[in-house]
Amino acid sequence: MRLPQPVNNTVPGPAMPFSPTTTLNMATLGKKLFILSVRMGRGLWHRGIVSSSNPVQSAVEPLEKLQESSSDAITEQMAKSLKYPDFFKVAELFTVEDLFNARVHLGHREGSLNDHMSQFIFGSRLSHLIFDLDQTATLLREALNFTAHIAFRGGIILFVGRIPQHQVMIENTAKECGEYAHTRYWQGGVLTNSTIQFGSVIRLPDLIIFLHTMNNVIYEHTAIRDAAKMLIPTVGIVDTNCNPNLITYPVPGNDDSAASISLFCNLFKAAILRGKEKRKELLGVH
Amino acid sequence: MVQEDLEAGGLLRRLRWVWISLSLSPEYRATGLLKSGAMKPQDKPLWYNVYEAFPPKYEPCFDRPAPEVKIRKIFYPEDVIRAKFYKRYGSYGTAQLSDQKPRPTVCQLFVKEYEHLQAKGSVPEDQLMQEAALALEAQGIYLDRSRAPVKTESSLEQEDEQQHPEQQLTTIPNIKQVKLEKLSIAEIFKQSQGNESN
Repeated sequence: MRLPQPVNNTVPGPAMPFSPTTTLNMATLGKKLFILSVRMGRGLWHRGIVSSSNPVQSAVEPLEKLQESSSDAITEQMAKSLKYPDFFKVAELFTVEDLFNARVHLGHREGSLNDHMSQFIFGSRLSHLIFDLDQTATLLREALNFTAHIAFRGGIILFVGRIPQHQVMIENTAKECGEYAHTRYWQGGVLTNSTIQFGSVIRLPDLIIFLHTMNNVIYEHTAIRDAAKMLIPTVGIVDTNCNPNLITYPVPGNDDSAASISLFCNLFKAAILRGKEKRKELLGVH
Repeated sequence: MVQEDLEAGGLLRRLRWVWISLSLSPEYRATGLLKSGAMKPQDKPLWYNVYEAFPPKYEPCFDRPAPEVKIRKIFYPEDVIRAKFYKRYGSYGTAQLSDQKPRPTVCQLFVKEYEHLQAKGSVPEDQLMQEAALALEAQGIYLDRSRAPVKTESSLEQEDEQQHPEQQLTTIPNIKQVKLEKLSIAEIFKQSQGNESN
């Protein structure tokens, strides 16, 4: 289905990292979230709500006017990058054998299978479900490609995962690629009520990567639904007991083994770093 | 704000918005917003062009129906032999799942021998299990423990020498190897009684 081309071909969004109009960005937001979730916990709700005199907006801030010539060249390059099927060569980052060795193909048992996941299953070996790694590989390549393009355009990427065993791994991955992570208790209004919750204009993430789509209990992570509401694309590792419907680029695979999560973390990190490298070349800015 | 929530119209409006936002893909909604003018072209989301160029394989809608795919059971022809093996001999030995290049398990070796004999065709069906077990005995794996040779001390030493030739320490020939004999409690009792009487 071909979509109508937008009238203006300029690429919006805060492309300049040093824009003076950048307000409370995700770095301080991330720190705040961590501090609040660790120290105050649910007590945040009882904090005084700070009201700002200016009308608040939680949409992406409009781009500061750059010089016409440079911005055109940049937008041209960005449009060109979309013409290649694999501009960042993310397909070279992994093989199906790597996925197998990292135990990505191991699912849960038939009893906890979510019906939407049955199309990604290769079969069941004595009721233990096995993922079809060919499908996983295709979808993973799509997800990595999208991630790299978002990083190339200077998008903010948020890693989310709620399983304690992998919390530190996810946070370190985010640090190493210069992006953000939220692996603690998710306060309800972080995306949908951000301006009131944090008391300021907020720039929301441009992509959310879920290493675990489920919470500690049997419920889906709130951020999946909230990202869909706020028009934020998501990439997520979906296990046999997860619902992939709301995730933009689901990647069916095992999310319980440390080996598989570490492989996924490394792959996403590599894709983001490739995107950022190309961006550095393009902008010539550190 | 609370009053508005309690209002039926307000709640329904919110629910309808939630339903729309989840049952339509983000790109469909963004296109709608752009076309209608609610979202200005300079506010176009960062991901819009990328999504347009590389749309996901499955459109992300809340009410996307689950395709009716029957999950096939994974079975191999060798599973018949494996079932017979485990029924007869139980779980023999352990296997490390995290090994990248693991040694073949006893069951795997058994299956190999069984299939080899089956292919030859010289052994009748009902004796295949026994013959395969005998073939493994030739390799040193005794599935039937009663048939295993009794391990005496000398044979144990021989085994040690065979398995760890590099670990053999040079023994000084003058010192005799004193072997502690197993003492029974009765003997110790007798000895102590003897001491007491003396």
